Amino acid sequence: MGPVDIVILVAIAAALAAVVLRVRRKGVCADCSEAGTCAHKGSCMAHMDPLEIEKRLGKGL
Amino acid sequence: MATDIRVALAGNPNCGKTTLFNRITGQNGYVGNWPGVTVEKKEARLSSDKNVVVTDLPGIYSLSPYSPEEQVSRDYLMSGEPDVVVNVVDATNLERNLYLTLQVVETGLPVVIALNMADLVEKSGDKIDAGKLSQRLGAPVVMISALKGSGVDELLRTARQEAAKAGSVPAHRFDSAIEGVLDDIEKLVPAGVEEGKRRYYAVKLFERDELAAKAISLSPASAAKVEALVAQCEKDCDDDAESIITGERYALIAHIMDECVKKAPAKMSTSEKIDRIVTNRILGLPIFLAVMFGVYYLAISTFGTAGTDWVNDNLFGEGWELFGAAMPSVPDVVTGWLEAAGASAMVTSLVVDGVVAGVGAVLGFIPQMVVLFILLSFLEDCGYMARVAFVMDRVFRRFGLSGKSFIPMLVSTGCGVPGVLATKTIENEKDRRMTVMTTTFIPCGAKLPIIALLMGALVGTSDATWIAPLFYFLGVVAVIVSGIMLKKTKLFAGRPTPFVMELPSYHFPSIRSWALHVWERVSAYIKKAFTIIFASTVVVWFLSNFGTAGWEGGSGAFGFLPDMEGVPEEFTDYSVLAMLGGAIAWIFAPLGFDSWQATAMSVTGLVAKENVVATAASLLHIADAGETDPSLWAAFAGMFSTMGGIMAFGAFNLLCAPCFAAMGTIRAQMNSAKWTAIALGYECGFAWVVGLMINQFYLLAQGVVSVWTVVAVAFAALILFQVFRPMPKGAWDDEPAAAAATA
Amino acid sequence: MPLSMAKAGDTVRVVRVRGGEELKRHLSNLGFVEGSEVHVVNQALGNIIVMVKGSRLGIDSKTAMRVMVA
Repeated sequence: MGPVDIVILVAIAAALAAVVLRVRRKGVCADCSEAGTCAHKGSCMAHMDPLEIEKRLGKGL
Repeated sequence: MATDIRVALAGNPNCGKTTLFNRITGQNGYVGNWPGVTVEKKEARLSSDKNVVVTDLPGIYSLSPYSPEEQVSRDYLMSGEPDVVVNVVDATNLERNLYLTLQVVETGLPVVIALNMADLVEKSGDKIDAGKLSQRLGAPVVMISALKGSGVDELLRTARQEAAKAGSVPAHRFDSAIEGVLDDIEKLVPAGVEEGKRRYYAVKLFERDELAAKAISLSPASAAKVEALVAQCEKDCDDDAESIITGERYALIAHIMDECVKKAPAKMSTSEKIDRIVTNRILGLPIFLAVMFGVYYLAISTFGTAGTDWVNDNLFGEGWELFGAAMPSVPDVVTGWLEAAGASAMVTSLVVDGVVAGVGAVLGFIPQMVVLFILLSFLEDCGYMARVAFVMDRVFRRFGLSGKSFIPMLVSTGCGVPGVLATKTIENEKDRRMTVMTTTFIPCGAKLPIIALLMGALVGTSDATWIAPLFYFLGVVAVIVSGIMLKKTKLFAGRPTPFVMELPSYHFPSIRSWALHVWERVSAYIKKAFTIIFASTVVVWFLSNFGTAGWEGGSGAFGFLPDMEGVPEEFTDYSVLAMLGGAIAWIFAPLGFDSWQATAMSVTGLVAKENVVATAASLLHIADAGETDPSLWAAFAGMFSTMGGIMAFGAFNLLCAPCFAAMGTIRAQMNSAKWTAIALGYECGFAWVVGLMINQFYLLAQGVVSVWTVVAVAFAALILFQVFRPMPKGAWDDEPAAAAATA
Repeated sequence: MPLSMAKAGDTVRVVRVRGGEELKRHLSNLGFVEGSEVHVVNQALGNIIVMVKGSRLGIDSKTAMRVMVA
């Protein structure tokens, strides 16, 4: 196993760690989070109250 | 003295309030909950003036004390905090919106009415006289378009002006008889209540609003007098107090509309014409089926296929052509880099056979995803999907469900997570639980690669294109059948809930929002590919490349298999993954796919459905690294021994428990470990039975009979029985005929 | 007669709304009050689409049966 191998393996390990961290922070859906940093809060159902969801779905679903 | 100016934003749901809020505050607000309730509270400062705080109240139709949204809004308005209320009114729905406006004006706070979507009203030919309207309502009216941004500056200016005022006096008056009673009640309002609010409380007391009575600490003596006044009025009008006030308000609104709005001549709108056809009692359902068939057919079998084939076979397969020159495929290029850099065979395999193969396969389906989401987003945005819920309501109602349960399923065609969350709108707890359990049967975006892969494997070419829509319908049928079966069990039986849903006019979606929706879904898919799928393929690679040398003549030692002495061709059969998969593969034997690979694929599919394909691609590459890669479809088909097995595999993976994200959402919605277990258990069980039936009936058609055939038939009979048997007595009794006769 | 019996294309007026408190309230919030005009867009075995107070609503048959119109 040469030096290049080590570099690649470390890179992959780092990438994996990054993924784990991201999942921890942002939730598995990759869009929805409990941390509060959602890309499209306006359209994600997790943040809407039920009446709003229903009206939203009913109008321009 | 720079004290903050506080603005409250109130209005009907969907009047454009939130669009306005985002526009003037820049989306940087604090989002939390109002204390003690699960109602969202949104607050932010104006981007143009940091001294102004805007609170976006929840969408409400009136200020009654009945729902938490209304209570929270009333309490806030009466709390003395807001300096001015901006009532956003949807000009295209003026009559309904004014119902709230009258109540807001009654609170005695300074009010500015933001007449939103006024441009749409003009387009429709109606004319609104804002000046007269303002006169009648006793508050300034500003025409705006929250979407386009026009009128917003003037609105803010007017709001600031009004905020400086102490209060406002509502200009509207009810019928003189009612006014008389209200005046008398007002005298009974405790002296401590300030002048501007007395009328508001008088009206609320007339409506027998207990929360209001408590808020002003009405003495029992006064309360009795109020009650007497109200009771007398009810007798005189032969109606109940709430209805009286409601009627008065609407009568007023009718007058106002008469004076201030000139309607364009009425003609049956295009929307109406379309609705006549689309919701027709005979055509409605078939039209829907045809539409969905078309959507899946177009996405998976025509445009999409060409794109995906190219990506999988050329870009990630054998190489492609750029202006006549032969370009190597991505795996070849990466292999080249790694070899040139001196990487070992093991690491190269990890990168190329593991990551690149797995992630690449998933990315390869993007062309089909894009087409699918373009079509689905169009259907959603143009308003058609709302009609579908209405049409399906009739079907669902026969089995005790309401169309409201269908909405989450429409959402699930994109992603199951918001689909499960959309069940929030179902008030009936049993129905909600049942919908949560079954909504993930509908194929989500992530299941699309599975469907596409299966289609390719079953057919080889793109001939039997009906297979793709077939899997979508499998999901729908699964939902309906499950609904029917479950509704007859004690756990879920109950009356269907009333269904009232607003149907928007048909409109061609704006290209911008359409493109945005598509982009949202596709970018989510890509992000998932590079994160979760990436991680999964790495894990799969390790598990399938390391194992014990248990073959004949092998040393039995544990290590990196390809490097071991005497390692056979199918070294992966001795890997850890093979061991794990093999341990439970027997479960799938009667379903026709008991290879450890199929098991491994299904299990990784629980993390994310795309993994089924990613793992497949990865395992295939690992297994025959070095040989010319046959097309993904053919190789995949080669993993199974029969067609029946392939179909059963597909059905199982499409129906079984969804991905971790969706499972987590199910748990959150069910709010109970027991119910989550029931949901997941049911989904996996149902999936297994369906897979069993498919495989066994396929074998039966080929003349192969075994004990499992009998089991499959037994299950089929059980399902048919549960579906067709009459509803158990007392599950939900229809209204006795007598009541209906007293019309 | 109940709203569920009205025919597509009819325009009728609400006479009374029967039903439990919550339902009546919900309906009145949406515009089903005595005297309001209701235009029937389409009818499918009781499930009905109407225009009321300027907005288009889809209603199931049981609920439609509770709205008495003339």
